[in-house]
Amino acid sequence: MIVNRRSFIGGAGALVALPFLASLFPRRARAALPPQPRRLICMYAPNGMHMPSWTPASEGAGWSSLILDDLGDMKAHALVVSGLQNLPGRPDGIGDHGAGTGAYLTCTHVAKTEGDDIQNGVSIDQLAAPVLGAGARFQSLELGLEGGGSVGGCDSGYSCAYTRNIAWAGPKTPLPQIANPRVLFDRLVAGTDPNETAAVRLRRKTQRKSVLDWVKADANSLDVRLASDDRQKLDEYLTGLRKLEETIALASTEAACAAPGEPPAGYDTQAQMDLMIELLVMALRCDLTRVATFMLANAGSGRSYAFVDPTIVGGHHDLSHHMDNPENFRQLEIIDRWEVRQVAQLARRLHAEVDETGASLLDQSLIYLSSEISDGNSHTHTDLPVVLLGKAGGSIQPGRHIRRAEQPMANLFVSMLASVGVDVASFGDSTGSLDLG
Amino acid sequence: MRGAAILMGWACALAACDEAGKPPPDERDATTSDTTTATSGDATGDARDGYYAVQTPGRVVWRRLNRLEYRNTVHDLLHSDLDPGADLPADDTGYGFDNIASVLTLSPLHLELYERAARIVTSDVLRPPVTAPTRYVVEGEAAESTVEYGSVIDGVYLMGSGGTLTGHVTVARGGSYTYTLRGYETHGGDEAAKLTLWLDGAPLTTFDMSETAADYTVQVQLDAGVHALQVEYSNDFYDPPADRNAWVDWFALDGPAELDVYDQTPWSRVVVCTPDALDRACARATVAELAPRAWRHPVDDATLDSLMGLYDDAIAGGAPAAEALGLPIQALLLSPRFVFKVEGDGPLDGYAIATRLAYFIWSTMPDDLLLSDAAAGKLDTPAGISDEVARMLADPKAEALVQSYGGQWLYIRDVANVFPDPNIFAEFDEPLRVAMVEELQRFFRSFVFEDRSLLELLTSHESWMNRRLAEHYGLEARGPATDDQWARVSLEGTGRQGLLTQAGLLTALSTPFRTSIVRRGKWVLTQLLCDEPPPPPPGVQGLLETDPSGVAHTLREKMELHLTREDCKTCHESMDAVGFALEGFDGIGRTRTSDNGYPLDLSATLGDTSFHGAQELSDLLAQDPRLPRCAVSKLMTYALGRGLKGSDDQALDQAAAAFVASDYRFAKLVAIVATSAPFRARDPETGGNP
Repeated sequence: MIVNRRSFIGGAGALVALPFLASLFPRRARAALPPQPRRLICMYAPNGMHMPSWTPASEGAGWSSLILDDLGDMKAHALVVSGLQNLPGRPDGIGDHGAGTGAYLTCTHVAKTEGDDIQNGVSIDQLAAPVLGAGARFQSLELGLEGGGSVGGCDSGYSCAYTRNIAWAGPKTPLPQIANPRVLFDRLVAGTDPNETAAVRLRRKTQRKSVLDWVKADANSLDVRLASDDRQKLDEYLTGLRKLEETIALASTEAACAAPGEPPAGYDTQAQMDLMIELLVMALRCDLTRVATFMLANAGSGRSYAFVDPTIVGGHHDLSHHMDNPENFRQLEIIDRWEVRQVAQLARRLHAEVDETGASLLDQSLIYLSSEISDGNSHTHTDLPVVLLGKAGGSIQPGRHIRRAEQPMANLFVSMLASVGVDVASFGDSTGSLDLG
Repeated sequence: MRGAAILMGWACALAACDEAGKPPPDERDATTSDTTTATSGDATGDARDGYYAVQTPGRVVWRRLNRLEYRNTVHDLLHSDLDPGADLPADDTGYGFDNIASVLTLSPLHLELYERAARIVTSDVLRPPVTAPTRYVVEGEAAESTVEYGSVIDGVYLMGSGGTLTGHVTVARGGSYTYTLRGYETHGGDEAAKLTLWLDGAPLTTFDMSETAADYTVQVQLDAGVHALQVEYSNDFYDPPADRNAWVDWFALDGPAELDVYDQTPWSRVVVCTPDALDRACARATVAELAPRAWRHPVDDATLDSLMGLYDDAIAGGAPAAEALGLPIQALLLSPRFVFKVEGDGPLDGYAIATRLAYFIWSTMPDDLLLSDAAAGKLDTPAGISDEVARMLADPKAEALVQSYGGQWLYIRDVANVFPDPNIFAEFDEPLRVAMVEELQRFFRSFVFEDRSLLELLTSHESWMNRRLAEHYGLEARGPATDDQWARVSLEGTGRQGLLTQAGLLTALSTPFRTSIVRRGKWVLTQLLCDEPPPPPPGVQGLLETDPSGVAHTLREKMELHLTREDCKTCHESMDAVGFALEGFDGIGRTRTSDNGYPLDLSATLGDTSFHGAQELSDLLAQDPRLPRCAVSKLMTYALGRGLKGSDDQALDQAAAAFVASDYRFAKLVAIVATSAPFRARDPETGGNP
């Protein structure tokens, strides 16, 4: 990889220069690119898109739209699908962001509650994870930029569980996101020290296992004569313990593929996004995981995008309630284009990781980007914005725009799962698979 | 009290209540009528007092520590300054609070991060005190190089072309470090060779090298752990005979500058001996000290011996003693006995009560006095609990009630997330936000720690301000002279009183562009009267920002359009009435007399009672009998970690009566809640009623 030194120096105000991790890879530790397994990455952007500027006018190859043109050199790797709908995402009463985001990867009508009786389906990434991720250190990674709490409920009677998570391992089990690059870094690199000997690394791994074994035995001794509700809590705990055991068992005692050198502690939104992309690329490249979800922001996000363009005023969510004001349209387009550029950057980085046969990591991956609604003002769950990137190992032919009017999003998910080698008879409200030809 | 009675009658119309003012029978919990089997039949418990016969305790499932409680507990247990709990996922909320048992799920990610936290904190605490700085050096000749024309001559690396030297070091202790480069240049061309020092992928500074070897330094702040050090040579120059080159002897980190005073290190407060004296006996004694505090109950020798097995195995595996001691401590932190507040059924034992009290009042683990009082049986009686509560409220840790309870009940935490539109509210900036939060906190703090009636939340004619906030209120003449000073300021003659006119709350209950009548109204009903309006029916669109008929100009007038529709009216009548009266304050809480250029109408009607403006509204609410009952209900929810049901009505009634009799003292209310049956006992699980 050619690194342009000039782009690094002189950033006196810059918190971080990227790509920094790649430049720090010790040469001896760069292992060969892992083979065939396919990867699935589901991205999420909140508050819909400005559809008149998103949907290309023509079908087939050679398409163009104001927002999606910001894919840039990644346009050739993109498959735009328009017309899909996710009707299970319609809320009871109000709460389109909560219900829509809950249904985002599950195509399930979630239970409207702010309390403990949350209910959803399993998300597609969690269906894919056990199949694709067998043997990878992390079955899946759940990433985001916002994490964060809020006081007093998240969307009109819908629990924060629905607005902050798109990955669901079970009806009551949302998988929380990691939004802190340092925490993610630690998870991936697990404190590996290049100056440590293999003997010390083995000792650490043995110690971690022994602590877990002790705790597991102690927890099981608590399990005697427990009421079923307490036992349910203990079961959540024991499940987590079991997953952690598996992760530790798979932790390599060989020299790390990933480079040490912690990300900086301070970062703004753009730096955080850049860092998270780099870390995700590192995780995929080092085969630490093969399935990931990424929330560019939480549902109903009120993030200010003045950092992209100072003429943007107010938060994203409020702008998306555009009231047909052309000035709001203009600002939304800028935000939507920023979102597209971030996803393009992820694709670009994966495209740059090439193995001996000339195939790139992007070719073996499938990236999905959509939003929980289409128009942010009318909160519709039809004609949703969808773009796919990558070839899923050859199953997908990108470079086109296809219209599939009024087809369920779930049908696309059935096809996406099939394309990465996970065959399901149905999913959510699917009526079959979607023809991506 | 007619007004109050009217308010009650009005509220019941919303939910088709019966005459008694309670929800219809089918909405009440099924166990309401069955109170006789409430206790577990523990003779000792019944003999202690006849409390349980009068109230049903209800049941809350095991609660895991939430993020704040985890952080505080780890800090109080191990005295580390690190806060790995900050990386835990945010907690979901239920019933308005983030400590609700059934909502606090535990995902595999939580376990992973608990384990990570346990390792990080333990190794930080068990690092031997730093009594002298350490040098972590990367020799030029040993570094990884990307220089095409590089070579080593007499132990110095010659960079004959541009490139980077990289080395990694593992820093044992975080702090201030001096990052030094020793090198020089061979001069060529018009400028000196420039070498840039990098740390962890970020460039720090560039030096012009001189022709004689010298040290070049920059100060950095580091955490413990692995760091990447790099030296980059960027301006190579070769135009024969001119040839500029850089020479790097070594680059290093020296530090930390902050040396330890032994008595102030976490080690000295956690381990029972000094680092050089650490042996198995000391390790066991340390674990024996920590275990009962970590798990909040006595731990027998067999368990301690079992924990020490981890130490022994680690020693046998070649680990140093300090590293081996870390393993039983990690096990303490990872155990469900640490992560969950484990409780049995029936009257709770002293340790369970101690745990509930500590997390209720302090949001942290019980201190040694709580645990010893539990052992001595002092927490088995209401009198004993009341004494303990008084002691705990006098401790600075009770600030948690302001930050966590007040932060959520009164939406103080929400003020951190408001973003008023800078075009409309140009005056809003971070210093103002900070001041708004400070006012709310100081105000609520006075109810927790001073002897004042909670009704004054609504009726108080004074508040706290600094210069900035006083200016915001137009009260510069009455406020302090600087932003650092805070003082109590009289609100006489200002049209403001109590909580409802404080800028922070008003801003949190507005949109970024304008006030929100509905949000303000709904908040009062939900948080102060516990009478939350039901959600809108399906198909309801949002408020139109402009009235197409051109008749409605102010927000109030647009809202009044709602009242012409029957299906909107039932709920909006009461919500909107509250909001109308608060329209005298804009979206960031400033006093105003017009909206959208049109004059305001602050009059409102609830039932048969008419009132005008925020003060009359606040006075009316202060007389509403639902207010004290709601105050009790909210605090009980927070203390118990579960929502209240119909079966809790008796306990709630008794507590509310006692609260009123105490003349609405918050400190008394804490004791009332802590001595109630639901706080002191846990019903066994009954079939079909988890």
